Amino acid sequence: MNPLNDPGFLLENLLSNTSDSIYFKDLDSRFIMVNPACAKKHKWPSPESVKGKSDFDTFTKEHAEQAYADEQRVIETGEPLRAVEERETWPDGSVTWASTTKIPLRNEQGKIIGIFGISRDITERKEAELRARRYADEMNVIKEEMEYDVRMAGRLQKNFAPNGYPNFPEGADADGQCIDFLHRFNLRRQVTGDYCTIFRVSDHHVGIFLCDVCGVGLRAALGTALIRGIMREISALGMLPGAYLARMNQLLVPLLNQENLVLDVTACYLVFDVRTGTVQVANAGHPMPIHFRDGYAAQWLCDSDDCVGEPLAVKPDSTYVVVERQLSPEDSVVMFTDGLYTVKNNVDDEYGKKRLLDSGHSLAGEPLADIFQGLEDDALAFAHDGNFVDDVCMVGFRFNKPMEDTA
Amino acid sequence: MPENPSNTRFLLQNLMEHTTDNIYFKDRQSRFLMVNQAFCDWAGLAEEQVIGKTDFDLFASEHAQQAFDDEQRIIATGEPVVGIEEKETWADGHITWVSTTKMPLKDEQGEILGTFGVSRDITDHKEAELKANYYSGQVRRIKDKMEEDVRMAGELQKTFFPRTYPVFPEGAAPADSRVGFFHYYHPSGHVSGDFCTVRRLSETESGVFLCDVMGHGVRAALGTALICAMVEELSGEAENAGDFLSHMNQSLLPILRQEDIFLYATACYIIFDARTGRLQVASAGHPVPLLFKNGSGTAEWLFADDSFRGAALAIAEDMEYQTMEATLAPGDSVVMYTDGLYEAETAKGEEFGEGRLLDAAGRLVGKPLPEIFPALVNEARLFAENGDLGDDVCLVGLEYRARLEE
Repeated sequence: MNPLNDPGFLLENLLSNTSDSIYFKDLDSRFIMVNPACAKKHKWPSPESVKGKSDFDTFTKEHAEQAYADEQRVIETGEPLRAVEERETWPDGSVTWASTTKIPLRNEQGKIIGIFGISRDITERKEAELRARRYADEMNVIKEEMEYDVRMAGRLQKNFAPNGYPNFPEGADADGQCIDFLHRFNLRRQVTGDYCTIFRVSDHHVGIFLCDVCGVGLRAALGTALIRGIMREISALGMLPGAYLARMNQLLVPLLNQENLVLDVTACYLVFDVRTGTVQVANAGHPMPIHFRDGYAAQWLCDSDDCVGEPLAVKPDSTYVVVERQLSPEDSVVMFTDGLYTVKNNVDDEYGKKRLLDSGHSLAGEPLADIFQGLEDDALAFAHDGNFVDDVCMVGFRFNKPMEDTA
Repeated sequence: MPENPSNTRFLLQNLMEHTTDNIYFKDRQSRFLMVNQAFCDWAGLAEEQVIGKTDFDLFASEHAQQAFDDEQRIIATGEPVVGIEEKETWADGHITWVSTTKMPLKDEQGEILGTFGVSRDITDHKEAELKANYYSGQVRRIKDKMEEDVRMAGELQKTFFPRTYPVFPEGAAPADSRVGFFHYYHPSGHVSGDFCTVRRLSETESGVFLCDVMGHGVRAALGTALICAMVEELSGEAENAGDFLSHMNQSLLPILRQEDIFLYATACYIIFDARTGRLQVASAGHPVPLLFKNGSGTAEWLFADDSFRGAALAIAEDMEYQTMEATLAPGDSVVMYTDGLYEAETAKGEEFGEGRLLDAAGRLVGKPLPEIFPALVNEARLFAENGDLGDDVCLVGLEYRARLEE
């Protein structure tokens, strides 16, 4: 007879030659029969020598108890265990892993009389998996620590921005304000290179500063901290936008302009006289603010390139011209960082300043909050994924009425 | 079939019939000779549909080719395939994973008649593993990106530190300056909360500043950027060392002290006049500087009594800081340091401490600052055994070489 047609031959071949451990156990989880691979794994002298032994004679209590419990459950329920991963702990301290299937062993009447199992060594693969998991856990701890750190830094940075606005006249209630202020951040991350502030310069002058440190992330945030520190110290120049930016530039150059590291900053500083309605602005490579003229138009505060100077920290002795404009009551001025118009649509067209100004036209005369919202909505409607790519900061004011000279 | 449970045939029959693993036997042409029920269930085929067929008849050709190649290699070489994990893409697009062992089927003479295999579905484990790998990769990418971000911030922070030092008289070659300055900076990570600077205040005076913003990491680094930006203007305005720290406290307080933030900084400021040797010191909760006296060959604390130190910066409004005065003799050096220098710990938690720091300083009297600084740091490192100081360390100091003439 051709042995290939003999099921008995085939099965015995399987039993004798496979590298998987095959074992049969009685109702008490004692071995009835094991194959050579199983005997070899346990370093038993022969498959026959194992009769009557149990896992407790081979493994540590830890694994033997687990295996016993599993097998007794299979016996009780009749449910097989499919491809469970078993951690095998040996008396010498070594650990192996097996992928195991355990099945009830039945007599011809279908009664369960024990179990049998097929176990495959998966130690190498399992150890690699565990190593990967441990590594992932370690990475995750580091990542979470860093995230916490950045979140804390972000909180600190939030305090750089205005925390309440000055009142003109000082002490005026909500109805008596000659000027309203607003600022708004739309940030991609916890920290940003955008920074704005609004501060009283005199009893009837306000200074508004907005800057954008090039790049993103922590380095840009560190740049804003430098600027925040400098601002405090050059406040004496607050009335003079050109001198203010020039001095800031002088202080920033040694810090941000190095042989191997140049971090330029665009900035715009304006001073508004709440009595006269005169606005003076100096610009260091920054987008020009938009002037919303009482209910009918939006225009650049100045549309000549001559009124825009070098970004900060590029050259040591940059100077900045001051542009002066007259505002009428109910005019608004909005400053913004370029993130507002650098969004792109799905054919890689940039939204651009022209579309931004068009959007502004339709918003002239609206309250500041609506102008901000409208500018942002229009830009985002254009963007192909509905998100800004860069951080966006807007800051502006609405001139309600001239402040009376009480002096 | 006899029911004697130790009868091999009985046991094998049971195994074949009841196991949930797929078992299959094939001839040398990879045609199925025998399969078990689990295999039929798994393939969704009846036994008679399988016997005599090959994988090519039953499965997608990609899988069939792979299986065929494996089997033919086993037949050619006699080498089994043990526990390989195979991905199976089914006609409806769903994916399963199996772990397979395939062995040669041999007759009693050892001649290879075919192959047999045992496969089991490990899809659940494999998916969990793949998910874990994917997650691990994601985390790692985020971590690497953040680390790069911090590294770049650290590059900027390095530029806050002095690159050159003032010389007295102005225009002198650094080696001829009557006062020599030096600093040492070692952040524990890419960024740190330590910062120092040395500035010329007048023809004869220099200002040396060192601070340590609480904690380390990015937030502390932001704190140092604020301080760094303030020093230039403040040092011009201040009347004395204590006044400088009072001003700085007022400038920092509104930024660092907020409802949800509590961030303070210790700081020490020295103004030194190279003509008179007069030294002013004020301290906002910072460790007392070391004084190296060349004349007597000893090192001591600049002031034995540290009660002149005020509160750390950004703790409270309107803090006044006491200005202490001392006169240096040519040959004396004064060294400021952050507490990371003496808080180095052994594995058992014993601190290097100020006592050992002073002892170490005593052994270095007479050496120039560029030798003293690394030597002090090294002593702390050796003490910590693992060579890790665990904190940011910054030292800055001046050596009074000779009186500056009128």
